[in-house]
Amino acid sequence: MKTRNRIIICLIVIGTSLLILVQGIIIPKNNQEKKQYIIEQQEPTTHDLESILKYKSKYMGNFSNMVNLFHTLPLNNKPRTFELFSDNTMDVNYKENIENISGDKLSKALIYNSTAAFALIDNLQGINYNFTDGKYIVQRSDIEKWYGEDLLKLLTKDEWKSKVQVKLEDEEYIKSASEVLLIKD
Amino acid sequence: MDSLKNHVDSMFIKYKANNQIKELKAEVLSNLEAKVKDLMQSGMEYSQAVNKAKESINSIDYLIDGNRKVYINKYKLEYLQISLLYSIITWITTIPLTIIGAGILLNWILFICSFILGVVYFQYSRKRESEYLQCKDFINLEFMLKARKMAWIIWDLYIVVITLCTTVIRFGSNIWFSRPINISGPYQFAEVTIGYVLPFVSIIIPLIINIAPKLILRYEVGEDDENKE
Repeated sequence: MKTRNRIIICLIVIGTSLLILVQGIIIPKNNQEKKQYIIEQQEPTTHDLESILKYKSKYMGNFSNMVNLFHTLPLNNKPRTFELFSDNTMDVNYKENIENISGDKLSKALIYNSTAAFALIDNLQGINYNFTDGKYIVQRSDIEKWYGEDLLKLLTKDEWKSKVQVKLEDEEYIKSASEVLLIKD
Repeated sequence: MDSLKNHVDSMFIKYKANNQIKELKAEVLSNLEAKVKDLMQSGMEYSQAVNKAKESINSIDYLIDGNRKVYINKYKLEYLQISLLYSIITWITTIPLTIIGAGILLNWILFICSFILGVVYFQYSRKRESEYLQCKDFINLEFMLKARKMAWIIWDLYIVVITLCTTVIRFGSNIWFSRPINISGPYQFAEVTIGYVLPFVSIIIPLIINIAPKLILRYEVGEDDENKE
């Protein structure tokens, strides 16, 4: 009985220390990292390519795949609906004014999201981004011309970083890319 | 004779009325009635004879099959101690799982159980008087053995059902459509593993029930102890 009492006391000490370590240090740190990760996913230059590779598909017909893809891309905090069309184009309808999203941030996100969607979904030909006060159209042919290579080749960590994300840190690049790629309707 | 019947009923009140109990009850009642008759024949008044007969038997616990007389407080104290030990071990085991958000409720339940068991054990272990520790009572060993068997059967069934359910929920569509199972990384692997392992924590219930028969035998009052009284 006495030996068991000693074991119980030791276990209480171990359990309490472990509880303090897990609840007081590890979980708050993980939560902080998760928060940081979510913030980073809103920013095209820090977005995680790995998180969207699982949505790679030959066809755009899989509605849930398309919805999940855009749910993992920047601007996923804006309420939106989707429509897919038989001519291999799609509508992304944001319930938001263009004015509410600062110019650079919007262009950057639309260029990044379009590049990701065209690289991952083989037969997607065009995306219409509809906002409550305007519309942007992005075509696959324009994106392919802009990068000058097969979009599939961009889907490696290094290529994606150097040819897509790093470039979007430059304001001049965003401006010129927006003029070519984002057709305002 | 109603008074005798009521007395017998009150002695059997904690036992379920199965065939053995009914027979025993009838036997005890007829013995008491015979005793009353004998006493009246020897000149005693009816009410006095009934009281005398009642006094002759206060407990029938020793007549019940499987009943063992044990040092009840020693038994309870060790039972509480081992239960507390198991509860703390299980609580500690589930703490790391909360890092990935699994078993949080279970971890809290185990923490509360350990706390309550700890407080009760502490209260019991403070009573050290020999009179208290020598206190005796009956516990039915057969019932405890049956409870132990039942607990393990129920636990086995629970594990089989829960494992099947987990498999169907997680991999049902893969199995149905003959698609390969894809576990993309260590986090997902841990999540799947925990899904299977977590129900095994419930083993604490049959383990705690398992202790009872062993402790009954350990704290059973021996013949030597009885003779000392």
